Amino acid sequence: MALSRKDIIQILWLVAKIAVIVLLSNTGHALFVYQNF
Amino acid sequence: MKEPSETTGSRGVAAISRLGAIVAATIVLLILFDVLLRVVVAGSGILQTMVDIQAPATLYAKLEDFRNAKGLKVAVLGDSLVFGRAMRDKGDSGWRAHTLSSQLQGWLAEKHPGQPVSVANFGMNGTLPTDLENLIRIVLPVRPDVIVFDLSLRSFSRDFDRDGDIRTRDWLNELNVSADGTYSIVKDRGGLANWLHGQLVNYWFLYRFRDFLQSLLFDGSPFTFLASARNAADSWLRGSAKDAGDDLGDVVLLMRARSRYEKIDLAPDNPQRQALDRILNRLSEAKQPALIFYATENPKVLPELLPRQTFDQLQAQLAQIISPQPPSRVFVGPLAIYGATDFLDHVHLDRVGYRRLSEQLGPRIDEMISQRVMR
Repeated sequence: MALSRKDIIQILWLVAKIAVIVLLSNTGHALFVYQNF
Repeated sequence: MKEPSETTGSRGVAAISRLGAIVAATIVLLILFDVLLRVVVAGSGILQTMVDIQAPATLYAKLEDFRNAKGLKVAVLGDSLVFGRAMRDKGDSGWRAHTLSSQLQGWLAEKHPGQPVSVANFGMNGTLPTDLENLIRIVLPVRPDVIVFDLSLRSFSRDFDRDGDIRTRDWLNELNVSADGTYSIVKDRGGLANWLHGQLVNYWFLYRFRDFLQSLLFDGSPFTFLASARNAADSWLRGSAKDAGDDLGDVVLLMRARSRYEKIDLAPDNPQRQALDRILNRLSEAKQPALIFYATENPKVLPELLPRQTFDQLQAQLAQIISPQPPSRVFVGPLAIYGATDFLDHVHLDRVGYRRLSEQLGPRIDEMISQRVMR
């Protein structure tokens, strides 16, 4: 199924958030950081 | 005209296939990002930057970068003298360029023009022979041209022969890196979590890079960074006398060193001596060229630490333990090249001190490299 332009932007934003969370949080704090991001 | 149930069913299928496409696109983008990060990090040489190695993934990230380096490879292991951050604490903002490994890198690069030279700094504050033993076990399979490490009498203090004080970093004892570079943590507890952590470090570069980046950016974790920023702001607002604090710190350091030096012995039952014996055996068995140098104390402060006669006796014993030297091993004992001004405290050197040290060690390392090439 083709994704719209909006979908792709949202996916890119999600990947960026995952990268920042992985780089800047410690495993135990990851969920906390995600909730407050 | 369609039945209502069929419309709901086809909507469900459409939603699931849309979700599948989103998940697949996210995974593909994460993989692409990981490949890009690997290339950019390897190309930038950022992993050669000296950081306080406080986590196994940090050490592993640096080790893999060193493994992939081309040309001459020298691994410098040891304690705070090798790490060199004492210079930063005494106001040298360019400390990273003045450490032993950086100066050796410059020295060797000059001697071997046109050949890539990689001198990796695996120095960690306070390491003992028991920690070095683990570090050498981890670094040895990379087969550097020369492994350089320092020894000091302080490490053989009986302060470090009790349970809980034998090692400064238990994680070094638990870290295992196989000859092909696979990372694993061997622990009695937390099997599944350790396994998952191991898989993530091995296969997800972003995750592997995390601890290194946090050490580089925050000098620890974001939490410790915030805490130290708060403390710095606190002392700035109070207008505390920084110089007086530094002097007090030096006095405390000296008193602690004196207490350690009083309890030094190199008896065969000392666990640090036993660790040194195992290090020497391991290096000999692997025929690994190794340069061991003594972390010379400040000549002005040494008489305050222990009597000259005791120092000489202990040095003779240390030289005895390290000899008989196989051809692949060089021991450089206490050096008489320093003035008191080359030291920041009782043992840490300033940039001039490190330059003098690298001028002493560089030719010896170079000789070991050429002997290795000839063999």
